[in-house]
Amino acid sequence: MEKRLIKFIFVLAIFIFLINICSALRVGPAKVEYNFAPGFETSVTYYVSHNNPDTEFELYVAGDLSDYVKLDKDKLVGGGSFIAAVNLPLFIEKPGKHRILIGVREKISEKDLEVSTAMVRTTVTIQAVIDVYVAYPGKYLEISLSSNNANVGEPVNFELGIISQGKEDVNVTPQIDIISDDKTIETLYFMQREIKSQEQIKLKKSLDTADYNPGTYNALAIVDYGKIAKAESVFKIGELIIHLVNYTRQIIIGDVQKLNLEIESGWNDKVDGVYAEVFILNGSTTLISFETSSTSLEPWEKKTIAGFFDTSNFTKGFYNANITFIYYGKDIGKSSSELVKIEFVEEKNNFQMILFIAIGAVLLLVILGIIIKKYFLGKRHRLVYTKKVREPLRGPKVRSSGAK
Amino acid sequence: MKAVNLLMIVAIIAMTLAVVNLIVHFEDIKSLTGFATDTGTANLTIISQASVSFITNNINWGTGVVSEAYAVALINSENTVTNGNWTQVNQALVLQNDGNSNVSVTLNTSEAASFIGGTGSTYELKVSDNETNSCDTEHNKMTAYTNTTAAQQDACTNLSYYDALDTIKINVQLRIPEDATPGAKGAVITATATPL
Repeated sequence: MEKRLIKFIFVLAIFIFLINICSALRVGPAKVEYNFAPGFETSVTYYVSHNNPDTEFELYVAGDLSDYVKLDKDKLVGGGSFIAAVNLPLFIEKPGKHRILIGVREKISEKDLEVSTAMVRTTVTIQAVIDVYVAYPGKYLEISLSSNNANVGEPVNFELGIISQGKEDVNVTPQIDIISDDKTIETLYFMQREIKSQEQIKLKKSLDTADYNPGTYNALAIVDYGKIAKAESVFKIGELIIHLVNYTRQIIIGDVQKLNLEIESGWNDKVDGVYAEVFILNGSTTLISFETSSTSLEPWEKKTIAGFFDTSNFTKGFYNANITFIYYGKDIGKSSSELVKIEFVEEKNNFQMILFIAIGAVLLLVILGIIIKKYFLGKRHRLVYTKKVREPLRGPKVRSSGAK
Repeated sequence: MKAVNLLMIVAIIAMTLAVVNLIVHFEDIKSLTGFATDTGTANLTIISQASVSFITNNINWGTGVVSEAYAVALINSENTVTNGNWTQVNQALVLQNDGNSNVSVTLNTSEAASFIGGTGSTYELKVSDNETNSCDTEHNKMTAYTNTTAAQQDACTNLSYYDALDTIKINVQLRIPEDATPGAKGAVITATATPL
């Protein structure tokens, strides 16, 4: 018992030490936002932390309006804090968002750089953000829309963000159109309200999906302030069902073969214990049945499950396969079936293939040989024959043996 | 028995040191502020923090040469060494968002010419999920191996801080020509994270 306790303490000690090995650069605040006013002044204190007390960091300012920001330090060692003093001008011509970047860059030490070694090393830089919003002339709104996926009967929650970036206040009555197959099937209305210049608000609305069919829908937010601002979001309404997306369409006959089934969840929650029972039919007779491996699916997830079966009794041709999926969602068990066609083919005989190739090659060589012999060699023979005919005949020599 | 007692003492000392170490590092958390009003309420402000770190922060192929019969060797961090004898590496760099703000990540490193040299060398980076959908196709700007340019290049334009999808992999691929100057070749990849 004591030995076990000692082992546990050692393991725990080692684990706690190991927490330090992965060092992170951390800078806060990550983002601050201001509405522009002429001559606006402020200062932001940034905190930098890092596990290694010897690591050096360079500090810098970049981006829009960087000329109007001064840092009280240009470097830090190991972490600490620094101040960014923001002193904006009296007028900024360009309306909209201006982003100032406050950078903290990790430096690799001179000592490490001296080490000559073949490796790819890393450093990190964090750029904290100061966003300054300059009002547009007149009225100007920017909007955003977000939604969540849900199952049939569960609410879909919308969040509509509105930022008034104009110099004038606006009065609006926002609405959200629910669209399916390019048709608006329902509209959600918000109450009329005033949004002051440079004000940001978030509005919420819920959609009751009890009468909705499963599927994918579009939500279109429309805010009319004299001009129209629009934002879209796509959401899904799910049901507890498993769809067969793809499967092995051709199986080679011979021994045990694998049937892959690519499946997709149509539900917005986790589906457990998903597997398939496969019946391969010849007419109305079941030739073979087997089960696939089991898996679970996250919301809307696609996965492949597989089953193995003996194909030695099959002949080539097309067979129907009845695939029944069994699955569980929130303790509710369900099943669904699909009928598909699978083609069984015979294994290509390698020996036969080689034989055919060899025979083909021999035939080709024979044909080539015939052509060469007939065309090229035959021509040469005629040439030689012709040459021989044209040469004068030389008869035997005759010697005279006469007297004087 | 004596040996067990000695072991117990050593274990306790190790545990004490580890706990002290842990306390020292918890001091770095300064993100909690609060105040109490006259009516006894307290407000809590959590400052946004941007924080990224390389969980795996180096790739080392060791020493090697381009094989004699070939003009170019190809090596990467996905277990490939072709036409060379460097050590196979099957581990990408892994970058984690461990702050409380979603960030856009850019990568900056040297060009192939200054890192490897020679004729036709290439130095490429590729970004992929380390957790399901940590950088989906809409936000991943380096889905295939991409040549480095010595300037900041978009890598993942929305890396979440949620635990289940806060890490991405960065794989490195090099083409090393036979006329690259011999010697130890090192490069530094800088990941820059900017809150969204």
